[in-house]
Amino acid sequence: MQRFLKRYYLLFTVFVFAAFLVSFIIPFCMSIYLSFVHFNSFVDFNWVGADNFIKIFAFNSPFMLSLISTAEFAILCAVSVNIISFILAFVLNCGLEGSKFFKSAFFVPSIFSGVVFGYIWQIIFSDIVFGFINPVDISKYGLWQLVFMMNWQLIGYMTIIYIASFKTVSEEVLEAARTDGASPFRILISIKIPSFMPAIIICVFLTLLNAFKVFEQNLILSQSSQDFPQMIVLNIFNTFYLKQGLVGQASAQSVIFFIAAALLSFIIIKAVHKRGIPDE
Amino acid sequence: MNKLFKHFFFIVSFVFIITIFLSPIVIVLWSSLRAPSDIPALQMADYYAAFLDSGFFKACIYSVFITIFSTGFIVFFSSMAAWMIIRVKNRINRFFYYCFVFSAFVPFAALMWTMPKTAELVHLNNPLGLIFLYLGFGAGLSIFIFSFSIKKIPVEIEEAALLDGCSLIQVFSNVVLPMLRPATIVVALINAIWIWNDYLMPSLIIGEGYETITMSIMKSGLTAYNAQLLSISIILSIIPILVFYVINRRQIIKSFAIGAPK
Repeated sequence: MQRFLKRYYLLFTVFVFAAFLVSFIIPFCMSIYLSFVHFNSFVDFNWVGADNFIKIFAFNSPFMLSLISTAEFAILCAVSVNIISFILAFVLNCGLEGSKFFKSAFFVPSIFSGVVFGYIWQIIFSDIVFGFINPVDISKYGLWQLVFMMNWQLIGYMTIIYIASFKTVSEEVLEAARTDGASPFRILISIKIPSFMPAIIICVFLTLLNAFKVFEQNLILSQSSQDFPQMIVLNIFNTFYLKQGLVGQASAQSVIFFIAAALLSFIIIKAVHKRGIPDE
Repeated sequence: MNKLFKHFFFIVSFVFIITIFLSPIVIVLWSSLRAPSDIPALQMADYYAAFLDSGFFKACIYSVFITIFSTGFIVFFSSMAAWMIIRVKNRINRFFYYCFVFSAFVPFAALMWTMPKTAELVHLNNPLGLIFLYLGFGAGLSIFIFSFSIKKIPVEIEEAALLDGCSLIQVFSNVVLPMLRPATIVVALINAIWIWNDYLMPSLIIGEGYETITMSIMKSGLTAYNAQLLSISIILSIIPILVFYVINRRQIIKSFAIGAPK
């Protein structure tokens, strides 16, 4: 078997390896390398060590500001999305007629693209909300607009994950606990919360990850007002494409961004595997 | 009686919540259909004509083309590669596997300057090149998902097929591939939705010339903001994906839970 497999190995894998090399390995290594150089063009660059990282973490640098507003945004999202979707899941889990339909309806926004989200909200804000409130006032609440939008996007998705986790608490275990004389409070602490824990971890970190990666919505909404908060990805984008001669610093930013995103994804994957893949 | 009342209350309250929840879509739909109030001289027909001129349908064709071929290539090539990577047991292969899994954790935004530059260098900055790049960038997660199903297939079945005179390609296509069906659906759905919705990667790699739907919406919003034209394109761009969702509801919901990182 192994002999046969090795003979055909290249035929089966060469195409993917070629694509992987061009679209991931080379760009990734280039990003890491560029974060340590001062880059003007492909023939004019010099090694500066950790200088780029020192510069981007300087006090009140655009990157630090975007990092702070992203953290603020991500935490606000994680709290609001998870509380709302936990309650929704709790109610929908009662198994009343029609809850399947509601579940699918709540999931609908999750399949749209960031561009669609951004413009749907812009149309709503410019057509309806601005009719009642002064646009200057509302630009102060840029972060809240994004939080609101993120809630719309993620609630359905998180609700589904919570509902799946509720089903992991089996009736027999609860029955056994009751016969052994456990109080309802005790059941909540010792059985229910531990078995919801993986789902809570998955949902919280998924929200954090999605909030961290937000870009199109931010780009679209920041067109309308100057002092709209810049999230981390938009800041990287602007440093790369709108400012001159900051490729090294932008690469350093994207390395930091990648480390954070990879860490969050890793925690999610670990939790998903511990719990198994949820069925509907 | 009490139960009936509870049930009634549940339905009514949730219909109410859903209506509010999905009202943004309804508002956009309404905004695309109503007659323009600010410029009475222009009729609806003019708007639709302007819309037809904007190249939106060309963008639709490019989006469909890129999504279908990228997804097809990802499913086809990464299932083959995943089978080889799992079955051939040596250290280099192990290393390749971890490279692919690692790439699934890296968002495109982290490579948003270096990948377009690399693509330009090797002349992949066109729709066909974009499909190739999607294959490379989507392969990580796809191989990761396929590898779970492949590990569950007993090697003995494949060996028996080889002994019975199958060639290796036949073993893959007749024995392994049918058993990978559930994983194939998941991989196809995750990648199709990701590619259809993607904005940053096509806009940075292709740039001008060949617009996808997301690029076209973005452009019409940035150059001349017109809520009505914009709502028409938004509605037209979400109709295909909504139909797709209604048909494959269960599978899509399941796939989303698995393909979390993308």
